[in-house]
Amino acid sequence: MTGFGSDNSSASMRARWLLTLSAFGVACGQPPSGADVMANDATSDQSAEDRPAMMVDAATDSGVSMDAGVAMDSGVATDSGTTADTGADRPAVPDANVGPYPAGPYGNMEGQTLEDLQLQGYVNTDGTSPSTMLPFGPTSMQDLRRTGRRYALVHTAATY
Amino acid sequence: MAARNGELNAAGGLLVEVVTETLGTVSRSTLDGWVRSNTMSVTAVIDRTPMTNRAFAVLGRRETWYIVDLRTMRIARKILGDTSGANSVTILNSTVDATLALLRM
Repeated sequence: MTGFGSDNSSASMRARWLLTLSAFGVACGQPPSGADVMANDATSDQSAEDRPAMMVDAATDSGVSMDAGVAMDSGVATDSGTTADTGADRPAVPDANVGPYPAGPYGNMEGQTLEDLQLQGYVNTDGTSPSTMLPFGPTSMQDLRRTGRRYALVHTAATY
Repeated sequence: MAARNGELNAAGGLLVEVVTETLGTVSRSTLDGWVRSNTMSVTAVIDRTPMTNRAFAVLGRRETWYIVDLRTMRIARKILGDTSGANSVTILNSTVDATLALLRM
C-alpha cells in the first residue's frame, strides 16, 4: 500500500512538475503544444478587445491609412471618367507636364506665339505605322506639347 | 520623308502635317486620302471644326513651314515654300536640317 500510495504521491508530484514546467515554458515563449496552439489561435482570432491597447490602435491606424488609399483611388477613377469623356478614339499622347498653354498675343510670324489650334486627326509620334492605322480623334497644339517633344516642324499641306 | 521623320523623332522633334483647304472645307476623308496617297507616317491633322478654316487662317497657304518651340510655342522659323509643290523635297530637307540644328543646340 505504501508503495502504491508512494507511487500515487510520486505520480502526483510528477504531474505538478510537468504542469509547472509547461507553464514556465509558455511564459518563456516556447510554443505550446497541440490543443493549446489551437486554443491560442482561436483566441487571437477572436477580437481586438483581447489585444493590448497599442496593438488595437495600430490596427485602427492602419485601417485609416488604407481608407485614405482607397480615397485616392477614387480620385483616379474620376480622372479616368474624364478621359473617357473625350472619346475612345482620342489619340493617346504622353502626359508631359507642360503647364498651361502660353498666353497670347498670338501670331504667325517668327518670334510670335502660335495659338492653341484645335485640330483633329492622327497623332503619330513614333513614325513607324501608317497614320491612318492609328486612332482618329481630336487633338490640339496643347496636346502636341504634351508629347514631350522639344520642337515641332509644322507643315501646311493641301490637296489642291 | 519617312527617313527624315525618323531623324526628327530620334532627336526629339515632331513633324506635323496640317492639311488645309482654301476652296472648301477639309474633311476626314480628305485627310485620309492625302495620308494614304503619300504613305504618311507622321502626325497628320485638319481643323477640328472645318467650317471655321481656322488652321488655314492662322498657318496660311500650303507649303508653309513653321519650326515651333513646343515649350513656349514661339515660332523659331517660318519658311515659305512653293504653292505648286516645286522643290518640296529640297525645302523639306532644309527645314528638317534647321529643326535638327535647333534640337542639337
